[in-house]
Amino acid sequence: MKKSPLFIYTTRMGSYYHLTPFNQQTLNLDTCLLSAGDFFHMENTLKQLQSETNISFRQYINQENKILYMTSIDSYKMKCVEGSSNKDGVKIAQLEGIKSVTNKQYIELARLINPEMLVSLTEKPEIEAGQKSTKRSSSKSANFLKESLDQLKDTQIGIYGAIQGGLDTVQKITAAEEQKFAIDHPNFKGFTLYGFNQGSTWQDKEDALSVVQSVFDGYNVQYILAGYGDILSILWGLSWGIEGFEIEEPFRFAQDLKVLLPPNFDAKDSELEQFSSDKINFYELEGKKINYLNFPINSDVKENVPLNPECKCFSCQNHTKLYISHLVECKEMNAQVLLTIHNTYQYQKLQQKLQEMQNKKQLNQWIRWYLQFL
Amino acid sequence: MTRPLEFTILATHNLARASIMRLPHGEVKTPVYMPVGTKGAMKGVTYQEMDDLGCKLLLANTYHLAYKPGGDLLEKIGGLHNFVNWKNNILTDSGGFQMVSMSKLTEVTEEGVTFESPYDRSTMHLRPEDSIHTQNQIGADIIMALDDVVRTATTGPRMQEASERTTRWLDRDIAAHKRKHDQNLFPIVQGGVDPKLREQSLNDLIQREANGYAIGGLAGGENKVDFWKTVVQCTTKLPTNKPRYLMGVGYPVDIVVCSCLGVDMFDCVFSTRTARFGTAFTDHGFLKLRNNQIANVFEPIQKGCQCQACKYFTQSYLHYLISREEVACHIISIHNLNYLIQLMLNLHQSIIDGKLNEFVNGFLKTWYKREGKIPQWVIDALEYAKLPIEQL
Repeated sequence: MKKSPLFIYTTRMGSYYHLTPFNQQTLNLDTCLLSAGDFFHMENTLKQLQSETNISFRQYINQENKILYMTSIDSYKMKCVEGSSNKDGVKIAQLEGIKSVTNKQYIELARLINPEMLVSLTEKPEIEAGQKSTKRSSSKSANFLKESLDQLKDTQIGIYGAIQGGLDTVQKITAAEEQKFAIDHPNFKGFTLYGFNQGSTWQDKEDALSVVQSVFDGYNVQYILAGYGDILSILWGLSWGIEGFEIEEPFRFAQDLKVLLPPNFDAKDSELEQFSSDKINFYELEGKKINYLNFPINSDVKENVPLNPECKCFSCQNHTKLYISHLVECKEMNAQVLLTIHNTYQYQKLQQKLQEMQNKKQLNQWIRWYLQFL
Repeated sequence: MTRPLEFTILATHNLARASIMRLPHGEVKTPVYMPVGTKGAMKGVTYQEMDDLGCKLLLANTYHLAYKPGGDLLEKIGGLHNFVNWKNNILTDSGGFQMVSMSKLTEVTEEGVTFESPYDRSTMHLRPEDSIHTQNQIGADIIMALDDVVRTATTGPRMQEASERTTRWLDRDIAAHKRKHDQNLFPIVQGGVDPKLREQSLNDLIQREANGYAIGGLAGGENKVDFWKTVVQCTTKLPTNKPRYLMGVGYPVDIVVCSCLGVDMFDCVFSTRTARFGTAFTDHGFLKLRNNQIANVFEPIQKGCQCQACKYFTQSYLHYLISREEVACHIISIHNLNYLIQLMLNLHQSIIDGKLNEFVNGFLKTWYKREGKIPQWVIDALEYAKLPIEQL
């Protein structure tokens, strides 16, 4: 995995939400989350692209020089992967509806797309699933991982297992143990962790992560946190050794007409010295929230100012809160464009700061300093 | 600059002209297509992207802006240019057309128009003075006189009444206009497709002396012969040293033909509206990207086009993306806008180079190749413009 933390930005068919190539220029996005369900229906086209043209898949989706991360699970779609009694596959939400997909098809699609990072196909157990059903899902996921490792060993694709089981520590351990065999495979890189959703307590998350990490203690395993990529989860996860994060929050917030207004990321060394460098404990996160602004706002001349006067993003440098609010009130899609740019820029600034703090070995101190303002 | 508009003709080919129009926010080469950003935004396309396309003049709409964010607020901020951060030129329509097309119209009297707001169903009154006042507050470089708008197909007393009232309202528009030093008020020639009413309207408006003139009341479903003949009636009568703006026309063939007939400015929402449904403009006609046969076409929408859509994407990818993510609509809109902007720039240059005939013949031959035949009205109109067209 390249630089940590790795922020893996969600896309739809390889295109970032609301961002034309022109508007992407100011953002320097270097990763792409590709949802398999976006591509199954165009398999024949991708095959033809490969066999009859010299256009690579990356050129086709205009994401050359980006890290491609392919997964079957798409956080934007609530129920995008369903279980199936068929041991060879699952059901995945596609444009035409929920369809059955075998692991063989998933692996073939991976060959066409050729991502740097591939999360093996997984079956997501139902929330109220019984033990038998959960065990079946877990075993299937392990089997899919094995097949991916075997069948893609001639490629450069780095394979990640999918650890399901919600926050149930027993299920988490079971899932982890069943996939432990992967460590011996040269193309295995780590695990994507599912189920750490926002509704749970931080203690539950800490417990669930701990048990997974205990299974792989001493092994060189990378962890990616699946989900929305909210800032608090990133801070917590990075403190606990998670290196990659699926990121959807800036787009989701923009779609909901919210703008992220995190506190300033810059701290002096002297300000950090007072804080412990130990891992962040769950209770340090309780009650913390990231500030945001909901649009529309009051139409007042006083609001004819940037979203954040200190922000250097394209939206803040060129437009005002009043104008964006006007766009929202008029239901103009440019509102989402400008909010997406601003929100994504905040994430990029955060990523830079976290990388800097990791390099300076002051990460946990910085996180504690930052949590003060939330 | 002493006048807010200077119009310099660089070259002509019979009725067609290649000109430079100097406005308070910069120069515009004409003939020109003006994109429409109705509510102070181009749908899905930022103003910075519009600037990147080379757009020098675009539209906004008084009817909508008067409601949100309101003329008073815009005036406090310093006008629409500041509000949306657009450094080039803006033209605002008076709101007359929107009243007819969008509102439940209750009454038109000599005083003005009473209608029901589509936003909150309140009763609104719009007099010429109100429209001009709001347009003064918006601060566009070109503003339009409020006209009594009727549907093009209207005939008889109502059309005559509307045409004559438009002239009387123009006098009130002129009297109410407080920014003659930096905003150009264009009157709108009316009369439908009735040559007598058009003649009367032309005579009345030319007497009032304006910096430019608009040709209204067309592009409303009339037959193409009436359409081009009415355009010619206007362009041959209007002063040659002033720009002519044909309102609501934006199909590629129509703007090429009407440029040859002496029109300098065009606007239409069709380019962006049709883009949102997956239709792109090409030299070979309209390309429907949603069609299944596009799925495996790994070429850009138009070879040689330098827009974002053609530089970075194939027809195939856009075909799939249009049903998945809104950004496809933005990208295709950018292509269509670029297509029309470049079409007009190329036509402008062909007049200067003395190659308008080749340009128009080449354009029509390619555009109608699939159909196999150029419509007769096009041939007749261009023959009038002394541009002989070879049928396919």
